[in-house]
Amino acid sequence: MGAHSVAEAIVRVDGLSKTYGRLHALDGVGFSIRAGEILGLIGPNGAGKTTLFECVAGLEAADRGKIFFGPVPTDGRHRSSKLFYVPDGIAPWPDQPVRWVLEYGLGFFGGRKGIYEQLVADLALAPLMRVPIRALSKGQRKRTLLALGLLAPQPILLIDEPFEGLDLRQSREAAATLRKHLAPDRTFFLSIHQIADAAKVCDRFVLLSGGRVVAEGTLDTLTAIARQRAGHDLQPDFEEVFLALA
Amino acid sequence: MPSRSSAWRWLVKKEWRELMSSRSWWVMLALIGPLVGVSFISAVRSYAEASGQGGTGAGLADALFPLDGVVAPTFSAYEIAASFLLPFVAIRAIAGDRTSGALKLELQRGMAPVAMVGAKALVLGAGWLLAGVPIVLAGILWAAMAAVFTLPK
Repeated sequence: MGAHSVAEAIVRVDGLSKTYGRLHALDGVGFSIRAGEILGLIGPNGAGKTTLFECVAGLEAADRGKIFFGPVPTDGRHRSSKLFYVPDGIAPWPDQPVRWVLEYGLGFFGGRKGIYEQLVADLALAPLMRVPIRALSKGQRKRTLLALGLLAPQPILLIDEPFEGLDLRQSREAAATLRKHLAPDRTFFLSIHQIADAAKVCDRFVLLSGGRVVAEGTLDTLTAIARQRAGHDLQPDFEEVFLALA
Repeated sequence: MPSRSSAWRWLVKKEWRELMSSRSWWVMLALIGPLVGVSFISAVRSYAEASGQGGTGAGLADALFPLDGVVAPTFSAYEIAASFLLPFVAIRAIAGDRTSGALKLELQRGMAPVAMVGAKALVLGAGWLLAGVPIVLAGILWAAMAAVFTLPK
């Protein structure tokens, strides 16, 4: 568990469904996000993780279901003041240097200026500040996007695959940076397909499979559910739990 | 969050930087220069001939005014650019944000789509005016040379 106490649910997703033609990408998805936690969205490829993030962020319209911030259901447009989503595999403003992209993030989104220098240091971006986004490697681009997300002013940050393209050392540093910036008023919801990475950084997990939530909770909770479903004892290993549930 | 006007100013600034670093924009500029230049030179030559200084029918000069003889043909090059080149710049400006993923980030600002499109249109308009520099240069050249032509009475 994280250093911060986790208690109340600040976001509740209820019965979210999304279909693309005959494909049920999301089917009645429901879970909650608690203040000050790192919640991990895990699941096999094609489970609907990115669709879920885009629906929660308001970039995709869900067919059914509601998203509550506190007791009030909120539409896509009003979510922009509550959460910020960093998609995976994007290279925004490719001709602009990293420094300008981060400054644009501060100016356009009204980012957290106070942590700018610290983030540049934490994510080792100083040597890249004059390099255009298009010239960055996958890992360098991911670190830049992490910085952009962490600078965003919204209290809830959704990041799709935050460790994709990072080597072991960089993954650890990125995880440490996320943990460092976690606060009672700063919550992270991360989609991670590498189970080992998820286990290292997340406080709780939402396990998505085939567009449905098959389990939600801490590693202990998920292990108990997996044991119950498997009908026999399981190795105390997150990968085994994941395979049993997904 | 910053005020809407402040965010919009940042957006305009970003659009301008994107335009200035756009390859299609520079290709358009590189093509407009020679297009306008060639049109201007051939228009001036034709007008000089038609106005009698080149030895052709002097009566034609009475029917021709510089606007018809020089300015209109020079602007027609600009029109060709507007028809065939500007759409590429505009399409790339809009599609670029989508393909790079920038749009997914910017949409989360909650800004009205009309304001976002407006920023792009404003910058494209300003860019188009800037692309009119060869026309201005042609006008200056024309003003410098006009005295040697026989103007219609």
